[in-house]
Amino acid sequence: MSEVKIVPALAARMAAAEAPAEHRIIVRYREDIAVASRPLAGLSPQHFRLIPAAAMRASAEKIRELAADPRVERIWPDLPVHICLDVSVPHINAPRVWEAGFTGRGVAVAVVDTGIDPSHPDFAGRIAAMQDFTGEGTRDNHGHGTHVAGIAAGGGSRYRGVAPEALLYAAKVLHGDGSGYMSEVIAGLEWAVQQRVKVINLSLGGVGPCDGSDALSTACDAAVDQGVMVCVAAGNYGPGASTVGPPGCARNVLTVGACSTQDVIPSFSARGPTSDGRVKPDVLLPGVDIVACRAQNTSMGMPVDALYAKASGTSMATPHAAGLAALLLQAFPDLTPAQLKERLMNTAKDLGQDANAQGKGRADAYQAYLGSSVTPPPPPQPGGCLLSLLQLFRSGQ
Amino acid sequence: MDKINPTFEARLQQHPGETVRLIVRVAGDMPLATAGLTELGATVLRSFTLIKAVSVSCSAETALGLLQEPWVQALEEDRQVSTQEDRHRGKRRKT
Repeated sequence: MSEVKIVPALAARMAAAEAPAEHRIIVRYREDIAVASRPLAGLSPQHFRLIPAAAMRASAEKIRELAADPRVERIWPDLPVHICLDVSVPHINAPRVWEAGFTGRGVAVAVVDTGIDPSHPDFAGRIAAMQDFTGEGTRDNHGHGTHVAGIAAGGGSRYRGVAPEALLYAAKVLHGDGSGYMSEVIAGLEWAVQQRVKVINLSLGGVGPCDGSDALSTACDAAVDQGVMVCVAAGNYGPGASTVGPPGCARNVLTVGACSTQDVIPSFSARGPTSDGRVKPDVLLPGVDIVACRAQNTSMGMPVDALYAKASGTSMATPHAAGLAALLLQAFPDLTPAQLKERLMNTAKDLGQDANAQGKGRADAYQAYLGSSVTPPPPPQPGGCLLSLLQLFRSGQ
Repeated sequence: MDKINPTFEARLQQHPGETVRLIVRVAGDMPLATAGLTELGATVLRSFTLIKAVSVSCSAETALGLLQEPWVQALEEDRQVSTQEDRHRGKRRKT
Protein backbone atom coordinates (compact mmCIF):
# COMPACT_ATOMS: atom_id res chain seq x y z
CA MET A 1 0.00 0.00 0.00
CA SER A 2 2.77 2.44 0.93
CA GLU A 3 4.42 1.95 -2.48
CA VAL A 4 1.17 3.09 -4.12
CA LYS A 5 1.67 6.51 -2.53
CA ILE A 6 4.84 6.99 -4.55
CA VAL A 7 3.78 8.07 -8.04
CA PRO A 8 5.17 5.89 -10.86
CA ALA A 9 7.38 8.65 -12.27
CA LEU A 10 9.17 8.97 -8.94
CA ALA A 11 9.34 5.20 -8.40
CA ALA A 12 11.01 4.87 -11.78
CA ARG A 13 13.56 7.54 -10.88
CA MET A 14 14.30 5.78 -7.61
CA ALA A 15 14.80 2.44 -9.36
CA ALA A 16 17.04 3.81 -12.11
CA ALA A 17 20.56 2.43 -12.27
CA GLU A 18 22.06 5.91 -12.02
CA ALA A 19 19.62 7.24 -9.44
CA PRO A 20 20.93 10.19 -7.43
CA ALA A 21 21.56 9.84 -3.72
CA GLU A 22 18.71 12.25 -3.05
CA HIS A 23 15.55 13.12 -4.90
CA ARG A 24 13.59 16.36 -4.90
CA ILE A 25 10.07 15.43 -3.81
CA ILE A 26 6.72 16.98 -2.87
CA VAL A 27 4.88 15.21 -0.08
CA ARG A 28 1.14 15.59 0.39
CA TYR A 29 -0.19 15.03 3.90
CA ARG A 30 -3.62 14.25 5.26
CA GLU A 31 -5.71 17.40 5.65
CA ASP A 32 -6.01 16.94 9.43
CA ILE A 33 -2.27 16.81 10.10
CA ALA A 34 -0.83 20.02 11.55
CA VAL A 35 2.32 21.40 9.97
CA ALA A 36 4.27 20.72 13.16
CA SER A 37 3.22 17.07 13.06
CA ARG A 38 4.18 16.41 9.47
CA PRO A 39 6.73 13.63 9.06
CA LEU A 40 9.75 14.93 7.17
CA ALA A 41 12.55 13.23 5.36
CA GLY A 42 15.09 15.98 4.88
CA LEU A 43 16.38 19.28 6.10
CA SER A 44 14.83 22.65 5.26
CA PRO A 45 11.47 21.53 3.97
CA GLN A 46 9.37 24.13 2.19
CA HIS A 47 5.83 23.96 3.55
CA PHE A 48 2.94 25.08 1.36
CA ARG A 49 -0.14 26.81 2.71
CA LEU A 50 -2.40 26.47 -0.30
CA ILE A 51 -2.27 22.71 -0.13
CA PRO A 52 -1.26 20.33 2.72
CA ALA A 53 2.18 19.57 1.31
CA ALA A 54 5.88 20.26 1.59
CA ALA A 55 8.81 20.10 -0.80
CA MET A 56 12.08 18.54 0.34
CA ARG A 57 15.03 16.39 -0.69
CA ALA A 58 15.16 12.77 0.44
CA SER A 59 16.97 9.52 -0.21
CA ALA A 60 15.06 6.59 -1.70
CA GLU A 61 15.09 4.89 1.69
CA LYS A 62 13.58 7.93 3.40
CA ILE A 63 10.96 8.24 0.69
CA ARG A 64 9.86 4.68 1.36
CA GLU A 65 9.68 5.45 5.07
CA LEU A 66 7.52 8.47 4.35
CA ALA A 67 5.26 6.41 2.11
CA ALA A 68 4.75 3.95 4.95
CA ASP A 69 3.63 6.74 7.29
CA PRO A 70 -0.19 6.96 7.60
CA ARG A 71 -0.01 10.78 7.74
CA VAL A 72 1.34 10.85 4.20
CA GLU A 73 -1.08 10.59 1.27
CA ARG A 74 1.08 10.96 -1.83
CA ILE A 75 4.68 11.62 -2.91
CA TRP A 76 5.53 13.24 -6.25
CA PRO A 77 8.85 14.07 -7.89
CA ASP A 78 9.47 17.83 -7.74
CA LEU A 79 10.03 18.31 -11.45
CA PRO A 80 11.52 21.37 -13.11
CA VAL A 81 8.78 23.43 -14.73
CA HIS A 82 9.28 25.45 -17.88
CA ILE A 83 7.12 27.53 -20.06
CA CYS A 84 8.18 25.96 -23.29
CA LEU A 85 7.21 25.33 -26.83
CA ASP A 86 4.60 22.79 -25.85
CA VAL A 87 2.93 25.66 -23.99
CA SER A 88 3.49 28.68 -26.24
CA VAL A 89 2.62 26.76 -29.40
CA PRO A 90 -0.74 25.53 -28.04
CA HIS A 91 -1.29 29.00 -26.60
CA ILE A 92 -1.39 30.45 -30.11
CA ASN A 93 -3.52 27.49 -31.26
CA ALA A 94 -1.03 26.15 -33.81
CA PRO A 95 -1.94 22.50 -33.06
CA ARG A 96 -5.48 23.20 -34.23
CA VAL A 97 -4.08 24.21 -37.60
CA TRP A 98 -1.94 21.03 -37.63
CA GLU A 99 -5.14 19.05 -37.02
CA ALA A 100 -6.60 20.70 -40.10
CA GLY A 101 -3.68 19.23 -42.04
CA PHE A 102 -1.23 22.12 -42.19
CA THR A 103 2.18 21.83 -40.55
CA GLY A 104 4.11 24.14 -42.84
CA ARG A 105 5.19 21.14 -44.89
CA GLY A 106 7.56 22.18 -47.65
CA VAL A 107 7.20 25.92 -47.02
CA ALA A 108 10.66 27.52 -47.21
CA VAL A 109 11.55 29.60 -44.15
CA ALA A 110 14.85 31.48 -43.90
CA VAL A 111 16.38 32.17 -40.52
CA VAL A 112 18.73 35.13 -41.01
CA ASP A 113 20.66 34.96 -37.79
CA THR A 114 23.70 33.27 -36.16
CA GLY A 115 23.27 30.08 -38.21
CA ILE A 116 21.54 26.81 -37.38
CA ASP A 117 23.10 23.71 -35.85
CA PRO A 118 22.44 21.12 -38.59
CA SER A 119 23.24 18.25 -36.24
CA HIS A 120 20.26 19.00 -34.01
CA PRO A 121 17.82 16.09 -34.35
CA ASP A 122 14.79 18.39 -34.45
CA PHE A 123 15.85 19.66 -37.89
CA ALA A 124 16.78 16.28 -39.40
CA GLY A 125 16.38 16.30 -43.16
CA ARG A 126 14.81 19.76 -43.27
CA ILE A 127 17.74 22.16 -43.63
CA ALA A 128 17.72 22.93 -47.34
CA ALA A 129 20.70 25.31 -47.48
CA MET A 130 23.11 27.28 -45.31
CA GLN A 131 25.24 30.29 -46.23
CA ASP A 132 27.77 32.28 -44.23
CA PHE A 133 28.14 36.06 -44.54
CA THR A 134 30.38 36.61 -41.52
CA GLY A 135 33.56 34.79 -42.44
CA GLU A 136 33.13 32.51 -39.43
CA GLY A 137 31.60 29.57 -41.32
CA THR A 138 28.00 28.41 -41.21
CA ARG A 139 28.22 26.80 -37.77
CA ASP A 140 26.02 28.41 -35.13
CA ASN A 141 28.69 29.44 -32.64
CA HIS A 142 26.26 31.53 -30.57
CA GLY A 143 23.09 29.45 -30.25
CA HIS A 144 20.55 32.15 -31.02
CA GLY A 145 19.75 31.10 -34.59
CA THR A 146 19.27 27.47 -33.62
CA HIS A 147 16.88 28.48 -30.85
CA VAL A 148 14.94 30.73 -33.21
CA ALA A 149 14.77 28.00 -35.87
CA GLY A 150 13.48 25.56 -33.25
CA ILE A 151 10.62 27.89 -32.37
CA ALA A 152 9.67 28.43 -36.01
CA ALA A 153 10.11 24.90 -37.27
CA GLY A 154 11.57 22.48 -34.72
CA GLY A 155 10.23 18.98 -35.23
CA GLY A 156 10.93 17.50 -31.82
CA SER A 157 8.46 15.41 -29.90
CA ARG A 158 9.09 17.30 -26.64
CA TYR A 159 9.49 20.83 -27.94
CA ARG A 160 7.75 21.19 -31.25
CA GLY A 161 7.91 24.42 -33.19
CA VAL A 162 5.01 26.22 -34.83
CA ALA A 163 5.58 24.80 -38.33
CA PRO A 164 7.34 21.49 -37.64
CA GLU A 165 7.53 20.37 -41.27
CA ALA A 166 8.74 23.60 -42.85
CA LEU A 167 11.99 23.67 -44.83
CA LEU A 168 14.77 25.72 -43.28
CA TYR A 169 17.34 28.00 -44.89
CA ALA A 170 20.06 29.40 -42.65
CA ALA A 171 21.87 32.64 -43.46
CA LYS A 172 24.59 33.31 -40.91
CA VAL A 173 24.82 37.10 -40.69
CA LEU A 174 25.53 37.55 -36.98
CA HIS A 175 28.88 36.68 -35.47
CA GLY A 176 29.63 34.50 -32.45
CA ASP A 177 29.01 37.45 -30.14
CA GLY A 178 25.49 37.86 -31.53
CA SER A 179 26.15 41.05 -33.47
CA GLY A 180 26.77 41.97 -37.08
CA TYR A 181 26.57 44.83 -39.54
CA MET A 182 23.44 45.89 -41.34
CA SER A 183 25.24 45.22 -44.62
CA GLU A 184 25.76 41.58 -43.63
CA VAL A 185 22.06 41.26 -42.82
CA ILE A 186 21.11 42.79 -46.18
CA ALA A 187 23.42 40.27 -47.89
CA GLY A 188 21.67 37.45 -46.01
CA LEU A 189 18.27 38.81 -46.98
CA GLU A 190 19.28 38.89 -50.63
CA TRP A 191 20.48 35.31 -50.48
CA ALA A 192 17.21 34.20 -48.90
CA VAL A 193 15.19 35.95 -51.60
CA GLN A 194 17.37 34.32 -54.27
CA GLN A 195 16.62 30.93 -52.66
CA ARG A 196 12.92 31.72 -53.26
CA VAL A 197 11.96 31.29 -49.63
CA LYS A 198 8.44 32.31 -48.68
CA VAL A 199 9.16 33.54 -45.15
CA ILE A 200 12.17 35.32 -43.63
CA ASN A 201 12.73 35.58 -39.88
CA LEU A 202 14.81 38.45 -38.52
CA SER A 203 15.16 38.15 -34.76
CA LEU A 204 17.63 41.00 -34.70
CA GLY A 205 17.78 44.74 -34.70
CA GLY A 206 19.39 47.96 -33.66
CA VAL A 207 18.50 50.74 -31.27
CA GLY A 208 15.51 52.94 -32.11
CA PRO A 209 13.85 55.21 -32.82
CA CYS A 210 13.68 54.91 -36.58
CA ASP A 211 11.42 55.85 -39.46
CA GLY A 212 11.94 52.92 -41.81
CA SER A 213 14.13 54.83 -44.28
CA ASP A 214 17.43 53.18 -43.28
CA ALA A 215 19.04 50.75 -45.72
CA LEU A 216 18.17 47.59 -43.78
CA SER A 217 14.50 48.52 -43.34
CA THR A 218 14.34 49.50 -47.01
CA ALA A 219 15.86 46.15 -48.00
CA CYS A 220 13.28 44.33 -45.86
CA ASP A 221 10.48 46.19 -47.63
CA ALA A 222 12.08 45.32 -50.97
CA ALA A 223 12.02 41.64 -50.00
CA VAL A 224 8.32 41.97 -49.19
CA ASP A 225 7.80 43.59 -52.60
CA GLN A 226 9.30 40.43 -54.11
CA GLY A 227 6.66 38.29 -52.43
CA VAL A 228 8.41 37.25 -49.23
CA MET A 229 6.78 37.50 -45.83
CA VAL A 230 9.34 39.15 -43.53
CA CYS A 231 8.86 38.84 -39.77
CA VAL A 232 11.00 41.20 -37.68
CA ALA A 233 11.61 41.56 -33.95
CA ALA A 234 10.39 44.83 -32.45
CA GLY A 235 13.45 44.82 -30.19
CA ASN A 236 14.07 44.61 -26.47
CA TYR A 237 14.46 48.28 -25.68
CA GLY A 238 11.05 48.78 -24.01
CA PRO A 239 9.07 49.88 -22.16
CA GLY A 240 9.69 53.47 -23.29
CA ALA A 241 7.86 55.00 -26.25
CA SER A 242 9.46 54.90 -29.72
CA THR A 243 11.92 52.17 -28.81
CA VAL A 244 11.32 49.97 -31.87
CA GLY A 245 14.63 49.84 -33.74
CA PRO A 246 15.60 49.06 -37.32
CA PRO A 247 14.51 47.01 -39.17
CA GLY A 248 11.39 46.76 -36.95
CA CYS A 249 10.19 50.11 -38.25
CA ALA A 250 10.08 48.93 -41.87
CA ARG A 251 6.65 49.66 -43.31
CA ASN A 252 5.69 46.35 -44.91
CA VAL A 253 7.22 43.78 -42.59
CA LEU A 254 5.32 42.16 -39.73
CA THR A 255 6.88 43.66 -36.60
CA VAL A 256 6.55 41.37 -33.62
CA GLY A 257 6.53 42.29 -29.94
CA ALA A 258 6.60 39.84 -27.07
CA CYS A 259 4.00 38.67 -24.57
CA SER A 260 3.92 35.89 -22.02
CA THR A 261 1.71 32.83 -22.27
CA GLN A 262 -0.60 34.69 -19.90
CA ASP A 263 -0.82 37.43 -22.56
CA VAL A 264 1.06 39.92 -20.42
CA ILE A 265 3.46 42.28 -22.22
CA PRO A 266 6.94 42.20 -20.66
CA SER A 267 8.66 45.50 -20.03
CA PHE A 268 11.50 44.69 -22.46
CA SER A 269 9.22 44.48 -25.51
CA ALA A 270 9.84 47.64 -27.56
CA ARG A 271 7.03 50.11 -28.09
CA GLY A 272 6.01 52.39 -30.94
CA PRO A 273 5.37 54.71 -32.52
CA THR A 274 8.05 54.95 -35.18
CA SER A 275 9.73 58.32 -35.44
CA ASP A 276 7.43 59.16 -38.37
CA GLY A 277 4.40 58.38 -36.26
CA ARG A 278 3.33 54.89 -37.35
CA VAL A 279 2.00 52.29 -34.94
CA LYS A 280 4.40 49.46 -34.15
CA PRO A 281 4.62 46.60 -33.26
CA ASP A 282 2.00 44.98 -35.49
CA VAL A 283 1.27 41.95 -33.30
CA LEU A 284 2.51 40.17 -30.20
CA LEU A 285 3.52 36.55 -29.80
CA PRO A 286 4.98 34.57 -26.88
CA GLY A 287 8.54 35.55 -26.06
CA VAL A 288 8.99 34.88 -22.37
CA ASP A 289 10.84 31.82 -21.03
CA ILE A 290 10.64 29.87 -24.26
CA VAL A 291 12.39 26.50 -24.33
CA ALA A 292 13.63 25.51 -27.77
CA CYS A 293 16.60 23.96 -29.57
CA ARG A 294 20.12 24.47 -28.27
CA ALA A 295 23.11 24.44 -30.60
CA GLN A 296 26.03 22.21 -29.71
CA ASN A 297 28.69 23.81 -27.52
CA THR A 298 26.70 27.00 -26.92
CA SER A 299 25.17 28.45 -23.78
CA MET A 300 22.79 31.15 -25.03
CA GLY A 301 19.98 31.73 -22.53
CA MET A 302 19.64 29.08 -19.84
CA PRO A 303 20.55 25.59 -21.01
CA VAL A 304 17.91 23.04 -20.00
CA ASP A 305 19.84 19.99 -21.20
CA ALA A 306 22.15 19.09 -24.07
CA LEU A 307 19.49 19.76 -26.70
CA TYR A 308 17.37 22.59 -25.34
CA ALA A 309 17.71 26.03 -23.78
CA LYS A 310 15.34 28.61 -22.37
CA ALA A 311 15.41 32.22 -23.53
CA SER A 312 13.25 35.34 -23.63
CA GLY A 313 12.99 38.29 -25.97
CA THR A 314 11.27 39.58 -29.05
CA SER A 315 13.78 37.29 -30.76
CA MET A 316 11.72 34.40 -29.43
CA ALA A 317 8.36 35.98 -30.30
CA THR A 318 9.29 36.60 -33.94
CA PRO A 319 9.79 32.96 -35.03
CA HIS A 320 6.34 32.14 -33.65
CA ALA A 321 5.11 34.57 -36.33
CA ALA A 322 7.37 33.09 -39.01
CA GLY A 323 6.12 29.58 -38.21
CA LEU A 324 2.56 30.83 -38.24
CA ALA A 325 3.13 32.40 -41.65
CA ALA A 326 4.45 29.05 -42.91
CA LEU A 327 1.30 27.27 -41.71
CA LEU A 328 -0.94 29.76 -43.48
CA LEU A 329 1.12 29.69 -46.66
CA GLN A 330 0.77 25.92 -46.85
CA ALA A 331 -2.97 26.32 -46.42
CA PHE A 332 -3.30 29.37 -48.69
CA PRO A 333 -0.28 29.46 -51.02
CA ASP A 334 -1.61 32.42 -53.00
CA LEU A 335 -1.67 34.82 -50.07
CA THR A 336 0.56 37.83 -50.67
CA PRO A 337 2.73 39.11 -47.80
CA ALA A 338 0.36 42.07 -47.42
CA GLN A 339 -2.68 39.79 -47.22
CA LEU A 340 -0.91 37.51 -44.79
CA LYS A 341 0.09 40.43 -42.57
CA GLU A 342 -3.44 41.81 -42.65
CA ARG A 343 -4.89 38.41 -41.81
CA LEU A 344 -2.57 37.92 -38.83
CA MET A 345 -3.30 41.40 -37.55
CA ASN A 346 -7.06 41.34 -38.06
CA THR A 347 -7.50 38.00 -36.32
CA ALA A 348 -5.24 38.78 -33.36
CA LYS A 349 -6.68 38.72 -29.87
CA ASP A 350 -7.04 42.27 -28.57
CA LEU A 351 -5.39 42.40 -25.16
CA GLY A 352 -6.82 45.82 -24.43
CA GLN A 353 -3.42 47.48 -24.31
CA ASP A 354 -2.13 50.58 -26.08
CA ALA A 355 -1.74 50.03 -29.82
CA ASN A 356 1.92 51.00 -29.60
CA ALA A 357 2.49 48.23 -27.07
CA GLN A 358 0.36 45.42 -28.50
CA GLY A 359 -0.25 46.34 -32.13
CA LYS A 360 -3.48 44.56 -32.98
CA GLY A 361 -2.96 42.10 -30.15
CA ARG A 362 -1.62 38.57 -29.73
CA ALA A 363 -1.74 36.62 -32.97
CA ASP A 364 -3.69 33.37 -33.06
CA ALA A 365 -2.88 30.64 -35.57
CA TYR A 366 -6.32 29.06 -35.71
CA GLN A 367 -8.22 32.31 -36.05
CA ALA A 368 -5.80 33.42 -38.75
CA TYR A 369 -6.41 30.09 -40.49
CA LEU A 370 -10.16 30.58 -40.24
CA GLY A 371 -9.74 34.20 -41.25
CA SER A 372 -12.17 35.34 -38.61
CA SER A 373 -11.79 37.49 -35.55
CA VAL A 374 -10.99 35.82 -32.31
CA THR A 375 -13.57 34.10 -30.19
CA PRO A 376 -12.32 32.71 -26.90
CA PRO A 377 -10.86 29.25 -27.63
CA PRO A 378 -10.90 26.42 -25.08
CA PRO A 379 -7.88 26.51 -22.78
CA PRO A 380 -4.84 24.76 -24.23
CA GLN A 381 -3.75 21.39 -22.89
CA PRO A 382 -0.03 21.76 -22.24
CA GLY A 383 0.63 18.05 -22.47
CA GLY A 384 3.17 17.68 -19.77
CA CYS A 385 5.39 20.71 -19.86
CA LEU A 386 3.70 23.46 -17.96
CA LEU A 387 2.06 21.44 -15.24
CA SER A 388 1.51 23.67 -12.31
CA LEU A 389 1.65 22.29 -8.85
CA LEU A 390 -2.09 22.63 -8.51
CA GLN A 391 -2.66 20.76 -11.75
CA LEU A 392 -0.48 17.97 -10.43
CA PHE A 393 -2.47 17.73 -7.26
CA ARG A 394 -5.80 17.90 -9.00
CA SER A 395 -4.87 15.19 -11.45
CA GLY A 396 -3.29 12.98 -8.84
CA GLN A 397 -0.61 11.97 -11.35
CA MET B 1 15.31 62.03 -47.80
CA ASP B 2 18.44 63.82 -46.58
CA LYS B 3 21.72 62.61 -48.05
CA ILE B 4 23.10 62.05 -44.57
CA ASN B 5 21.95 62.18 -40.97
CA PRO B 6 23.22 65.52 -39.56
CA THR B 7 24.52 63.89 -36.37
CA PHE B 8 26.52 61.38 -38.38
CA GLU B 9 27.81 64.12 -40.67
CA ALA B 10 29.01 66.09 -37.64
CA ARG B 11 30.82 63.01 -36.34
CA LEU B 12 32.57 62.56 -39.68
CA GLN B 13 33.63 66.21 -39.64
CA GLN B 14 35.00 65.92 -36.11
CA HIS B 15 37.03 62.78 -36.86
CA PRO B 16 38.13 63.03 -40.52
CA GLY B 17 40.80 60.37 -40.10
CA GLU B 18 38.47 57.77 -38.62
CA THR B 19 37.78 54.68 -40.73
CA VAL B 20 34.05 54.16 -41.12
CA ARG B 21 31.78 51.53 -42.63
CA LEU B 22 29.02 52.98 -44.78
CA ILE B 23 26.04 51.92 -46.81
CA VAL B 24 25.90 54.16 -49.86
CA ARG B 25 22.72 54.35 -51.90
CA VAL B 26 23.38 55.23 -55.48
CA ALA B 27 21.51 56.35 -58.58
CA GLY B 28 22.15 55.11 -62.08
CA ASP B 29 24.36 52.27 -63.17
CA MET B 30 25.64 50.09 -60.31
CA PRO B 31 28.97 49.01 -61.87
CA LEU B 32 29.73 52.65 -62.68
CA ALA B 33 28.90 53.70 -59.13
CA THR B 34 31.06 50.92 -57.71
CA ALA B 35 33.95 52.02 -59.89
CA GLY B 36 33.40 55.62 -58.84
CA LEU B 37 33.49 54.73 -55.17
CA THR B 38 36.76 52.90 -55.64
CA GLU B 39 38.18 55.83 -57.57
CA LEU B 40 37.28 58.16 -54.73
CA GLY B 41 39.21 56.04 -52.24
CA ALA B 42 36.53 53.80 -50.73
CA THR B 43 36.93 50.03 -50.41
CA VAL B 44 33.82 48.32 -51.74
CA LEU B 45 32.78 45.47 -49.43
CA ARG B 46 29.48 44.38 -50.96
CA SER B 47 27.11 45.39 -53.73
CA PHE B 48 23.43 44.74 -53.24
CA THR B 49 20.64 43.88 -55.62
CA LEU B 50 17.61 44.12 -53.34
CA ILE B 51 18.28 47.85 -53.03
CA LYS B 52 20.60 50.00 -55.14
CA ALA B 53 23.32 50.29 -52.57
CA VAL B 54 26.92 49.39 -51.83
CA SER B 55 28.65 48.82 -48.52
CA VAL B 56 32.08 50.41 -48.27
CA SER B 57 34.88 51.15 -45.85
CA CYS B 58 36.68 54.49 -46.06
CA SER B 59 37.96 57.44 -44.07
CA ALA B 60 35.48 59.95 -42.73
CA GLU B 61 37.05 62.56 -44.98
CA THR B 62 36.39 60.38 -48.04
CA ALA B 63 32.84 59.81 -46.85
CA LEU B 64 32.24 63.55 -46.73
CA GLY B 65 33.65 63.84 -50.22
CA LEU B 66 31.16 61.25 -51.49
CA LEU B 67 28.35 63.58 -50.54
CA GLN B 68 29.38 65.90 -53.35
CA GLU B 69 28.78 63.24 -56.00
CA PRO B 70 25.42 63.60 -57.76
CA TRP B 71 25.06 59.84 -58.15
CA VAL B 72 25.31 59.34 -54.37
CA GLN B 73 21.71 59.48 -53.21
CA ALA B 74 22.26 58.84 -49.53
CA LEU B 75 24.96 57.72 -47.19
CA GLU B 76 24.49 56.13 -43.77
CA GLU B 77 26.60 54.40 -41.20
CA ASP B 78 26.70 50.62 -41.57
CA ARG B 79 25.35 50.21 -38.05
CA GLN B 80 25.62 47.13 -35.92
CA VAL B 81 22.57 45.05 -35.13
CA SER B 82 22.31 42.23 -32.65
CA THR B 83 20.19 39.33 -31.49
CA GLN B 84 17.11 40.33 -29.55
CA GLU B 85 17.09 37.83 -26.71
CA ASP B 86 16.73 39.44 -23.30
CA ARG B 87 20.16 38.77 -21.83
CA HIS B 88 19.41 40.55 -18.55
CA ARG B 89 16.44 38.34 -17.86
CA GLY B 90 18.52 35.21 -18.39
CA LYS B 91 21.17 36.50 -15.99
CA ARG B 92 18.62 37.38 -13.33
CA ARG B 93 17.20 33.89 -13.54
CA LYS B 94 20.59 32.28 -13.29
CA THR B 95 21.35 33.82 -9.95
